[in-house]
Amino acid sequence: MMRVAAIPLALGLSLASLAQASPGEWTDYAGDRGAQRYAPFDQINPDTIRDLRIIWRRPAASPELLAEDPQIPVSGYFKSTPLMAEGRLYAQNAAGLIEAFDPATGATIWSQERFAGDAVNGIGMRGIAYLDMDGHGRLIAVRDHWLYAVDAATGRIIRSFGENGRVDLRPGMGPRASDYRWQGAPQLCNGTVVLGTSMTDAPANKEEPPGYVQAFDAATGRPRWRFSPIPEAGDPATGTWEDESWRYTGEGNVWAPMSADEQLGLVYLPTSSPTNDMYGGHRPGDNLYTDSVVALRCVTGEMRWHYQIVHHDLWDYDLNAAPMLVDIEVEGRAIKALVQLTKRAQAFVFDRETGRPVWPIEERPVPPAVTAGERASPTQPFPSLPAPYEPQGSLEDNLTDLTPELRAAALRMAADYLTGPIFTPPYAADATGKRGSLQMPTGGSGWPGGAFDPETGMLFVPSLTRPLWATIVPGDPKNTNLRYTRGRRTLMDGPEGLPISRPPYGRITAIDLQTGQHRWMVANADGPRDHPALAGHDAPRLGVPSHDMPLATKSLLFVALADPVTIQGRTVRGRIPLEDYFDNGLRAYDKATGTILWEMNLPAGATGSLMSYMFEGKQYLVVPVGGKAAPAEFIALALP
Amino acid sequence: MTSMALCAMALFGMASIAVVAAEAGQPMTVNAGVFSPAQAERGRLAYQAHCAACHGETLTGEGAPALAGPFWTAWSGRSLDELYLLVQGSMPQQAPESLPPETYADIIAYMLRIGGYPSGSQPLPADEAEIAAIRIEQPK
Repeated sequence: MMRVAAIPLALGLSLASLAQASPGEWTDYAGDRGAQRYAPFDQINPDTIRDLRIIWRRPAASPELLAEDPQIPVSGYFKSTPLMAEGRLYAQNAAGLIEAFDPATGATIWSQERFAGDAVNGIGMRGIAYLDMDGHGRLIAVRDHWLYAVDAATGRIIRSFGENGRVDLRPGMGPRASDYRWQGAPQLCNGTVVLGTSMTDAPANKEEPPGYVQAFDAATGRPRWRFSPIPEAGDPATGTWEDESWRYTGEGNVWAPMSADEQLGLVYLPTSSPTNDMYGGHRPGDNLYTDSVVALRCVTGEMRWHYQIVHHDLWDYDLNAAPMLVDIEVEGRAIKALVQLTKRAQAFVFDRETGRPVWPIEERPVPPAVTAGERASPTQPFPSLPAPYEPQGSLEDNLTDLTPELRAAALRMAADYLTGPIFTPPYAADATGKRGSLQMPTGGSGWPGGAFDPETGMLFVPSLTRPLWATIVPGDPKNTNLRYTRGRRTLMDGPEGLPISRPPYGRITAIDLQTGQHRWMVANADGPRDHPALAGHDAPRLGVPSHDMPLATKSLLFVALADPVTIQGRTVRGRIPLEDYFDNGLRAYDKATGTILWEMNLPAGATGSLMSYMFEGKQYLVVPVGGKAAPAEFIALALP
Repeated sequence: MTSMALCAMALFGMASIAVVAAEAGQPMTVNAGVFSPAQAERGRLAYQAHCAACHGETLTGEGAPALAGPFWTAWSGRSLDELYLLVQGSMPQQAPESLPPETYADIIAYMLRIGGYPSGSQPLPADEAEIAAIRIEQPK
């Protein structure tokens, strides 16, 4: 008890290294360089929240954009999250162009200057970066394959940056790449801007471009360094790629947002899986530095430490969220920690200075592969704490038991698939006589990551389970040199249209990072409680499988249910599991108990990460929303 | 052209394909000429407008899965309606189900053409039930 009482002061002091530049502002994509998604405001609190309402709405295709091109295509999957600095909000619009708008009304202040010859339409990002340079704010963003900078006061292009205001990101991707694209958020650290890249999950051949991370001087746009998640000649990590497979294997790219600690001078990268996602026979070995947390020095790119979360990935278990940088106290020891949330639904906690695990991480045996030429890693790392936050494998215990009938049907269905614990490798159907493997967990926590409360050390993790019917198929030498390529990654239909897995299908878990223990867990929505197959069973809240958007404030936890438009996979019938039960809910939870204190249904589900700010004495919460039929827009809520 | 006329054409086309398959005594497959050249050309234009930005001008995938090369290997053994439903239900990623059904069928026709499958005299119907009998296999 004594120790707990001392924590807020310790945490509050260390928070200063990660917190926003000025009170009330939101100057980084996830609130701070450490991706905490925490806003230290309490105007909207348990006593006042009943009056929370929508104050303004701003379309993703602003009037100014429509004036330029009335036919501009507007994606329902609107990922953009605003920043707030210098008394303005800034965000890329539906066309990837930065706009500044009024924090109190959402009205346009300026639209960025466009480069001569550029089309009106373009591809924007989840977030942009704000940098104060000697009292002059600048915004740094990626649009299509260009990194560029504009003046935060005027939206004018900063022509001294790069070549006449911008940098072409394609050459840095190497000769095997044909283009550059990314929808993360530029990461600033010590005057360096660090960029990831998006790459295909289904390449045609085993020779692919490495997922280079590129870094530039934030003042000049000049290249500073480049990091390859596939090790290069002379790196001892090439030893984890047998048959010299590092020479041709690609991907491992950082497609998710990143984080940085400017005091330590380190940027933290979440890398992803290598070519190809589901068959590793062309890349025997552990395959460093894929599926790893990698800490690099911001200014030089020199590696400080790395830790591989998945060896020799065969499940598409990319690290898909920014490492969260949190300061905690464990058994009386203050630790500058890093939490990596994962698709495998386990939180890995490290000392972010050294990369040493805060709680032991054990290498445990996992199932072998049976596919010709494949050699799965005999072990995988498992954290001893915290416990997993979703079921770990398609085991019988993890299948639905809502009713005896559903249970029996689920067991019959599962018998047609290869089932097993997490890390059961995908199989070629002809190797087993089964229809493929039933992969769980699939989903886990998504790119929205989690939210952290630095005053209590509590971590809030939205997650889901969406079982996957996975297969690999022999490659045809006429069109690929891959011995096996990915086949199905089909979302699994369960009995009666309900999931085959045990509920909740989507949830929020609160983890006490002082102890590593779960504090509470709640379903993220009512879900299919009124489904006819559950009639008379008084089902609890069941949740829906959506990657929800969290935000912690001083007094509340907000979670916005994601819109179905954010989901990529489909069932055999082209559907999204439980789509009819996605309720567009924005909910405020009691941080200590998970009790819902307030909720409302937004015009559409959330499609981008939340943010909050103070402006002229009022706290605002902004939710990017959109959908298949609903317009993409920013929705701002505040008290009257 | 009205949607009713398109539907009639689609039904006619389907019937023709079914006759050919039945005469051959084999399950109907994508090697049986299940789309028309004109449809694949319409599909090319629609692909360029709605798909190429992510899947690449040549269907080789950029930030999204390749739709050429091993793509058809991965889909071998499945019914064509599953592909149609997947594309319709999930694409374009930013606006699923936003295109007319015939456009989805046109795009699949174009993908089949690039995949090396032969064209026939009739377009691929934009109806999941009607194409459920068409099995995907490797191009011959």
